Amino acid sequence: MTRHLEQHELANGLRVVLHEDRRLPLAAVNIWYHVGSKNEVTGSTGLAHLFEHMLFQGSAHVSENGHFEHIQSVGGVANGSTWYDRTNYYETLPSNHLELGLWLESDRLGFLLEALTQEKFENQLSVVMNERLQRVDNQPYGLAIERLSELLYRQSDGSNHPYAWPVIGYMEDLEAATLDGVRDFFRTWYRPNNAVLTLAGDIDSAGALDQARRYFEDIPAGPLPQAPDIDPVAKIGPQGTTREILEDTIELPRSYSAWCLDGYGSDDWHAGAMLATILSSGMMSRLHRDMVYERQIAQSVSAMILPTEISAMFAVVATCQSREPDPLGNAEAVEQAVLEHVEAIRVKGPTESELERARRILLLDYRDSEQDLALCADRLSAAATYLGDPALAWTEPDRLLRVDAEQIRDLAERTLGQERRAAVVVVPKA
Amino acid sequence: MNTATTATLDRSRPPAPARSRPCAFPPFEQERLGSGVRLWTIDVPGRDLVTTTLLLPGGSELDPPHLAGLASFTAGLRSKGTSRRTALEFAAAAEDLGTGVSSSCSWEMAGIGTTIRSEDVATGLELVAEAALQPTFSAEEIERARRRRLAELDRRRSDPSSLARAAFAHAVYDPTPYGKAAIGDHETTRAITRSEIVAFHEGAVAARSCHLIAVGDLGSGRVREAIEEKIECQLRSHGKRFDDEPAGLAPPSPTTEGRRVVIVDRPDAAQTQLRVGHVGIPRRHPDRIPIQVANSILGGKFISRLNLSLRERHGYTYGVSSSFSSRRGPGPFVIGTAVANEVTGAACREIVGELERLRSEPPSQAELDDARNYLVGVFPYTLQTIQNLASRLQALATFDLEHDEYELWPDRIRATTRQEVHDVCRRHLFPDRLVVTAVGPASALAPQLEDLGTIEVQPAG
Repeated sequence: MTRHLEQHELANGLRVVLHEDRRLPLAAVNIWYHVGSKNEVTGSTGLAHLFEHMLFQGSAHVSENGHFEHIQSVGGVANGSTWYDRTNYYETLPSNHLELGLWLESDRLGFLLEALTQEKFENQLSVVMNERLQRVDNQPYGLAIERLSELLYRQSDGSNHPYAWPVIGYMEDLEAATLDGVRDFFRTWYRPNNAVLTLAGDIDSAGALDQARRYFEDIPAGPLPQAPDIDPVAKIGPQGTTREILEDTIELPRSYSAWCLDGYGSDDWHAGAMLATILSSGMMSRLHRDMVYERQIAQSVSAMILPTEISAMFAVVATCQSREPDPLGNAEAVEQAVLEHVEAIRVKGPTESELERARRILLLDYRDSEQDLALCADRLSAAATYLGDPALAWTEPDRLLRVDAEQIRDLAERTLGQERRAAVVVVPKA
Repeated sequence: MNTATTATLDRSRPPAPARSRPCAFPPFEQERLGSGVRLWTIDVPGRDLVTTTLLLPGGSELDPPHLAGLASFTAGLRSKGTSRRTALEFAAAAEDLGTGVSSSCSWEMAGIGTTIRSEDVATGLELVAEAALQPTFSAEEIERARRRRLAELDRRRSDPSSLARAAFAHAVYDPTPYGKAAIGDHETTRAITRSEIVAFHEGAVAARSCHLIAVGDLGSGRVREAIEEKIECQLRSHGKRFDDEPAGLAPPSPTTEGRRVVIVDRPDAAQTQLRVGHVGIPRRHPDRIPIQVANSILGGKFISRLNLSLRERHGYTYGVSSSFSSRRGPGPFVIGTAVANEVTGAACREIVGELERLRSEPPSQAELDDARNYLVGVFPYTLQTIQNLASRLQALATFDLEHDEYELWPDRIRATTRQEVHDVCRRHLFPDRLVVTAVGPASALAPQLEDLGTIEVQPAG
């Protein structure tokens, strides 16, 4: 099936991606700003995410709760999210309200600062602190990923790699955040020439482009800072295994192992995504079948690769089935099992039948997920932002399917060695 | 660029909408097959995907109290080995097609389902039928499943939201079935035997009260043929009668006298998980529509009274929401949130205040309009996927709803009045009889909550 796709660049540098799919009377508005927690500096972590919250607090022509009020009162759904490399804002609307989405998004890009107040800032700071409590501090294993990233991205010279800190930020940095910091962040990064706007679904592409111009083109471009200068050594992860034992209020001990791979879009990244599927998708996957089904030492096991730009964390998380008789011993047993499987891949690679099964799983999963219009729009914005071409969102399955067994073996041999691993083991508090 | 257009742009007010494109629930077909199974289908061409689910009348509401968790335990085992394939062979057959066969279990029904490429639908249906009709329930697989379930129960002992959910259900509903977690507890999980599993399963597989849902690219009769070939002929030879209505859903224990406060003590907790509510209404209830509107105003969307108060005004929480569960019996009305420990009492008083306000006066016309427009406007968004549509059909089948339920629903929502919303709030919200469940540090919480009602403190886990 041929699908419609256009990309335009407005005079102020805003890229507009259009995708018509008129099956349902829905329109997705999705805007990506190419700024995330990696653009923060030590001591003011969490700013990108806190800022995302402030973008829902009204702008010059939109009242304090106006964003959600306008969208929900017509039956729309809206949200935003912050990631290491980007911040996105999106709404799915009944398609006759497309223009409402453009009005709201352009108002907060072009006319935000005058509506920011200390009171709104303090309120959202409190909301974000509660978000951190809910997702991290009061969440079983909540601190483990945070610690794992710190270990994986620890620099030899003691400086901080921008993926070393959590997107939501450290509590002490949040406590020190100021409204001026938020304003500066906005002025630095929220420019049309640092954004991609995707309009997808039941739209008329010519009309939608006109409307995008109407609402966005008078918002001025601005100078953008240079991309952070990352020590190439940091891209390949720690030198020598670095491992820590954490105590937490949990029942089932858990082991995390992580390595650093090339970033999203690279050949290695695709091979890593295939490997993650081979290792843990489905009951027949290597880790699940051996550790969960046959030996019953694990309750669950999951391999994953994060879609990040500079480099990508490849992680395997295994949760023990029991804390008895020895929590640490059990955690080390699942950790060891993971390492043995990774080692086997490094030596022999996956089998052809494993690879074929993984391909089918990924393909069906992708096809299934394409039913979700908001997700389709988000993928187009992602490909345009990270890879420069929205059409690459649609050929991602092809790139995954092309990965062969030797590529995976080679990737594992080069990058998944013990000496480049960061590890966290979580055991119940004594 | 086009300065003329830009000059006329008035940003001070929202743009007027274009003409709306109507969106109705798509047409579906329902027929009773020769075996007695009722087949529900929606043809959604163009995605090359089909989702199918066989529903069996063996939900958790049928669990005997001393064997709580039996229904969902049995459901999980159906795909773990059949008379034709071992558990691994069964999994491989599905995964080789890129999918899996999932077992589900709600309070009312158990389900076996898969989402698969249309060209593979015959194999998918064959696996579904096999799991439904020929499971072996081998001793080895039973013990494997038991170990995993005991581990899951262990995990929940340190998970704040699981603890809050379980404590709330227990406080509101014990000793009726809704009072226990659907997966049971350690004691009941250890007590389940193979013969009870087999007996439960035999009772559930009765073609006359089963439903088969198929939504997606039905390929002009191809899926229908596969159903006949892979499922129908087997079900016909298997038809045993099972009561359409469950025999023994006891009425929930009403908490009629005053408020109750249950604190689950986690001395080191960094935050408090709160569940506040009481017995709600069954899915089939004449007040269901106005209750949906009322709940939307209270806590059913971001712009709701509770979220505007607790999050946007006070900054007590990252978010709060409320719901009336859809169950055959009167499921819970519950408000759920996580708040900073030191503001737990204040948050509870806000919640009580909002419930009292809904009882004391009707909502404003603007609030009513926003809620009605939201519910009706978001309807197409909730029907995007074949799985969304299938679950709507499942609800029709499970709760024996009228077939025009979704056709009439938007107009019924639009017709709801302020007075109706006020009336149902007075009938179904009871701020004086709330159960408040708080999972957090008891020493800090008890002084904040003592003016709400009698406090019981329980240890976590």
